[in-house]
Amino acid sequence: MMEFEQADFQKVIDTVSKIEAEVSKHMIGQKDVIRQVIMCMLAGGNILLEGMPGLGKTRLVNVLGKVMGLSFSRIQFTPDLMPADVTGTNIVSRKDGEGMFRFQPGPVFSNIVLSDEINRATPKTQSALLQAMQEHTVTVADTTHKLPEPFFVLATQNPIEMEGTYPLPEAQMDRFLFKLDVPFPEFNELKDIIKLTTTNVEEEITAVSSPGEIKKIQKVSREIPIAEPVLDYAIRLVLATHPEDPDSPEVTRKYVRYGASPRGAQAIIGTARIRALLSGRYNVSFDDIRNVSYPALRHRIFLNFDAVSDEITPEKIIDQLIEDVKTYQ
Amino acid sequence: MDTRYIIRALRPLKRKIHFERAVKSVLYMLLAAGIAVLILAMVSLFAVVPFVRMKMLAILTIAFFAGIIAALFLVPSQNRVIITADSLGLEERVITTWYLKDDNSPVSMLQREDTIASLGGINLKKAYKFRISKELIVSVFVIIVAAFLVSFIPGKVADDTRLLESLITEMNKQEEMLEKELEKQMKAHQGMSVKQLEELKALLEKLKEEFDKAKTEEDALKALAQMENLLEKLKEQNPQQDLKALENMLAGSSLTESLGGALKNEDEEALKEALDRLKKELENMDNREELSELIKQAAQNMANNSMMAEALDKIASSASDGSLSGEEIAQSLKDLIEQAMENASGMQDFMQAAGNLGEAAKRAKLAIASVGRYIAQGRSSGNAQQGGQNQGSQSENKERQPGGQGQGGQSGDRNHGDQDTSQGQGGQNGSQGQGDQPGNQGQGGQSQGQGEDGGAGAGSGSTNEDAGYNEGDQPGSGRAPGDRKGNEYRSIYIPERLGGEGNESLISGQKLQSGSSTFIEADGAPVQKGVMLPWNEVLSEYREEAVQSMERQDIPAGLEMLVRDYFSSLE
Repeated sequence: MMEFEQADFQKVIDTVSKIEAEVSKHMIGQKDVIRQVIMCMLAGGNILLEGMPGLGKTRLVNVLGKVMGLSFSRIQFTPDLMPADVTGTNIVSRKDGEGMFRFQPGPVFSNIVLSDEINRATPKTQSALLQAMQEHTVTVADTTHKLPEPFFVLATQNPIEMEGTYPLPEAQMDRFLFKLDVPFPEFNELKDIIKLTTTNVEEEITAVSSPGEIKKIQKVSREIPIAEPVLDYAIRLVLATHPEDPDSPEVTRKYVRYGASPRGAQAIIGTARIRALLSGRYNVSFDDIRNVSYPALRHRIFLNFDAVSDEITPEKIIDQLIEDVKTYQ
Repeated sequence: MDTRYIIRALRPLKRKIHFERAVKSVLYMLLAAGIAVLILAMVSLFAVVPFVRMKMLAILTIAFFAGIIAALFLVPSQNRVIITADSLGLEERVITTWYLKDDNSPVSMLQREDTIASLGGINLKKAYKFRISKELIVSVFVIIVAAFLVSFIPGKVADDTRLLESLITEMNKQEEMLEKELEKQMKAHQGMSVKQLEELKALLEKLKEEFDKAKTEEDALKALAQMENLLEKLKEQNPQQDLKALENMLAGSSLTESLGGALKNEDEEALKEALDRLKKELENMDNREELSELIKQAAQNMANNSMMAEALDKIASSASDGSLSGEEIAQSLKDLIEQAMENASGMQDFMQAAGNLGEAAKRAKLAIASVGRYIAQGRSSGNAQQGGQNQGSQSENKERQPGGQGQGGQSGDRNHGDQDTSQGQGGQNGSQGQGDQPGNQGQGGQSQGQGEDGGAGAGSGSTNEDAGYNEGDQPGSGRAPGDRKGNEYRSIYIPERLGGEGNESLISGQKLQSGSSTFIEADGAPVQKGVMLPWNEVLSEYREEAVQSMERQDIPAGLEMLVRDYFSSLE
């Protein structure tokens, strides 16, 4: 186990605060989404962003990459996008008059990969991302290539224009640590966005950290202590999403088809620790758990037909779970 | 890790939580008690519950103190205090520190410092708000107030309750007075033997028991009357006379002559020698027969002293049937003589003390009877406002009542004064005969009653339906003392009501002079033949009827007491 000094923790808190402050300078509004994206990235997870086009998803990823000092690439998913277009491929090249295969890395070889409209690509292409997301490696032919660290996939989904799309299967959804809904900006936010983006003012985005620091933050955050009652609460919350669990509330039994996987609990605890750090705390609180349970569980709760007909959303289920599950037992 | 700082910082919060729990505990106890007192108050509307408000107050007071006592055990645990502190904005800092108290890693140290800094920056006591629901407080208040308001709702039961409360108060007062009187008598008459003192104390204890059981004025008066009767009986005991009779009896036979002489001279040595000699003499069966006859004769001469007579009877039968040896008979005789001597020694004091106590009991009776009279006056004054015709009927009755009272009293007093040892409660029987219900002018039936102690009385009793008849003993021919048996009762004639077992019909309203009425004489009505029943089986019914009649009509207190005394003496 890695030992950290007290100064390391304080430095991490400083860095995290600086990242959040710097990103906020170049992003108008979306404060919750920004914070949750930062939390997820610092926890080392992938993010699924869902929202209408033009809400600044690409810009957010771009800004984050620059602020964190990370490389950034963007893939626009389309139905004819092939897996090799994502991962890269071996091409024949000539060196000293001899022909040979050389691996040409695809756009996935970047610290931050923005997979735009991921549900437009075929499942075959989508699954090309699976290995990259989970193992941070890419295998082409018989060679496995390691992806740069830290590595994050930020995928976007368009909730409308569902015709001709390939919805992500449950197993693939589970690989995303968070699923975030990007809301439409409010009046003042939209006004500021227009002002910022329709002038000739040159933006100067300062990098406040480096890939190495991000890796360190990821490690340090895992040291943040969590009291047993708080941990128990998180686990009870996840178990309560399972209709077959004897202690699950009525709402779960009525509307949930499948509950969250253990990855859901991992996501909650991992990101709750980052949230504690962002709040300048050295411990995880119940409030941290409650806060991160929405993005960590909403794509892991699969509703049944009754829920759809009664217009029940995963958020409503989570609301009820938070109300029903006691902090102390 | 040194957790003292955290414990110290949490102490004010702990105290506040404890106080809150104490308040809640008291409130919940009061709520439960409030519901109980409300039920009690509602019950008191339909049933007589004396001192209901006092009881309600007592229940509430007990509940209050029970709540406080319970609060002593409701000290919040350290864990609960920590959880509460975290909920006040410390965001699980304290509980994390508590869980990491044995961990000295850098992050734990940082976390601890953060917790201490956070604890220093917050006033937990101030931040913690009491979580006592207003609904609970209002409920407790409303229920208790409602209970007390309900207890003030007037009605017949409330009147009865007031009467019983006055009665109980008076009983307690009289009980206290009698206790003081007894103490006074004990100081004034120190010559009483321990046994005599015990007898008086036992009487008072019995009175207390009866008072505790008493539900009505009748019961209380009955208890006092019984006490009076028992005191009379005690007074009637004459150990000196018994001793004298015993001396004479013993002196009258050559067998026990020396014993009689020793007893007369109160010579203990001689008594002992005489008893030793008697012991030897009694080995002869003829001597035993002779002694048995002597003792029987003596027992008959002690008619009014049940204990002595009974003891002598017992010795006599043992001597005649040979169930005891000569030595045992002599020993029994010795014990009896000693007992008689002891009783005789303090008899003068005892008689005076018993007499004074009897007087006090009489005063107590008057005081208790006055409670009933006071209430009855209140009721009759209330009735008087309802109609004049009714009043007229009452006053008509009143004119007749003093006659009955006077006759009863005279008869009772005379018999009491004249009675000898063979005429116990003749006077009381006589009063029964005269105490007929006014208005129930009888057909001239005769009744004869037998006193409890074998005395006789005679009086004219009647009912509207049948001529009364009591197949009693001849006046003056009381049974011999010692033959009495408590469970043998003479039968008396019980007439059946017209129509069999049906209840009396009562029509409410006022009798007016206007209007017309028709009377039809019906022939051949199904009048059933009465039966003969032991009198004890109908006593309670008769007593009840008498009490109800007294309640219905305005009877002078003296006469009421006379009737009560009569029934008390029978019981």
